[in-house]
Amino acid sequence: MSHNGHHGHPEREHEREQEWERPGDGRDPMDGAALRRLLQGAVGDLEPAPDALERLRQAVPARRARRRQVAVGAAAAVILGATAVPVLIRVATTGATEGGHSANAASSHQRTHEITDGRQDAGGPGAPGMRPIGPDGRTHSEQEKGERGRRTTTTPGPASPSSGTPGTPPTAAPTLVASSPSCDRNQLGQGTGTVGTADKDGRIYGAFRVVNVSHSVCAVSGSGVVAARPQGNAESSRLTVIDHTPGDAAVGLPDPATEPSQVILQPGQAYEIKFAWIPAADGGPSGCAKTTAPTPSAAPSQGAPAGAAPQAPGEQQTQQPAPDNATAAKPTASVVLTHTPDVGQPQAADATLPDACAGTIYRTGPLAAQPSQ
Amino acid sequence: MAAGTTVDHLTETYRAHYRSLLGLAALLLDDTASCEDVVQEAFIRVHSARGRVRDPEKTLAYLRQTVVNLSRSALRRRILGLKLLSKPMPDMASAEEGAYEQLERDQLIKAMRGLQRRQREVLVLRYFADMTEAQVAETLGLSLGSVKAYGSRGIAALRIAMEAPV
Repeated sequence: MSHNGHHGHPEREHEREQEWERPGDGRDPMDGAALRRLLQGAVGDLEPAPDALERLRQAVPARRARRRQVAVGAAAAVILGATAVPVLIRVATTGATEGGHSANAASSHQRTHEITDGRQDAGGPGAPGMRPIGPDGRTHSEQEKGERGRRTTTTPGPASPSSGTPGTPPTAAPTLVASSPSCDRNQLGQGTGTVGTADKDGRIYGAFRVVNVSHSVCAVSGSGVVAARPQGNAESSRLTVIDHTPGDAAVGLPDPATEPSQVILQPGQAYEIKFAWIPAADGGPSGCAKTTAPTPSAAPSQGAPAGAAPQAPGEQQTQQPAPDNATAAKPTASVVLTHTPDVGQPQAADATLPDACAGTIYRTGPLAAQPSQ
Repeated sequence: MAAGTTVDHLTETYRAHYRSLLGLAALLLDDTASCEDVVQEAFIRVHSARGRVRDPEKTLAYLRQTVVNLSRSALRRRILGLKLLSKPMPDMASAEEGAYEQLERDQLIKAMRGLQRRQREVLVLRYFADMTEAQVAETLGLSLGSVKAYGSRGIAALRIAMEAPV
């Protein structure tokens, strides 16, 4: 506080008097010293809000996590590009053997679940360098550290119990401070995914919606996981889920700056994760009409079972609509998006992007959903 | 541990500067209602950017700079409009009503608010935050000459306003 005290640096004091001020005649209310005194006095009684420091202690890590999320999301996109070839081999070769799910050879069902859910298995051998970066760009440990351990049902700090917020307005309130416990996984349910119709460029917007099915108020603050799972001829190696950032291609999503740091859910209220599917630039509406996958190893990803997949020319097949009666043998491309809440599995909702093959999914964090109907 | 250091640094900075920054915001803003929000947001911004808190010497400068920027009305409106900040007023209104109400009545504050924004900013940084003219110039992105000019005109205007019978 000495910075603001009345004892300015002697030299500066001198400089001031010379430059700006009349010599004080004792009555002038506006010499430098007087002004300093008046300014100090005017605001001297202001006190920080009682919970000011506590709010900062919560808000700083949360903001930092947001920043990291954006940064890592961008890095993940780069890594995805760089590792496309090996991953293509690893993931794509097994796509057909497990009913079109991208999974590793020899992986159990459990493994499949973990991988498709993103970073759940960050250290696991099945996902080296590739999927461990969650679609929202953070690891679990970071998130837990960063956003005050939402896995626990009670929020540390000054948070009051849920009984303390009966006065919150009827719509989900994104901006109330952390006064509600984090939503447990079992408080979240009735998940639904909706997908709009594709525009002429194949862009599709949609949303996941997850309801607080419990009888108490709780808060959702982590972004959770949005994972993409290729179906049919979709190319798992060319599917990327990243956070929506200003200036990206998903212009229809809300500005990330408007995203609340958490969404408080009254019983029956829902949060939404919005997403946008932007097909790969050179691939027509589905994203891979003329794929540029650099190596023949892309071929097995075409998904035809039992060696029916041709080699390199296989990419062209993705353009050909499969006859209905042949769907089982040679499914058309689509992408299933799944959402798993930040507090953990199981997945809460899924949505299918029809005619989606290769591209990028941009996603938001949890937003307060409008009441349904 | 980085996290530990950060929290300590946050607390330390809070203790050392929060109140004075609150004053800074109150003097710069033309509505007292946003003071605490502006200071909170400044703390959050500065402390969530790791690079910015490495040098504690500079933390105050960053904080002041951010408060100045946020205090400019367009930015502030944007923040408040976006409701990036939670729970803006209720607490403060009840706990600090006295001080803020008093502020509203303060003759000097009224006079300060009558100044042009630049003049007010220069005077507040120069006299309340006790910066040198060079620091003021840097903070406001002005030339030294402009700082001198705004400062002397601001003082003159303030003198007249304070002597006015109203």
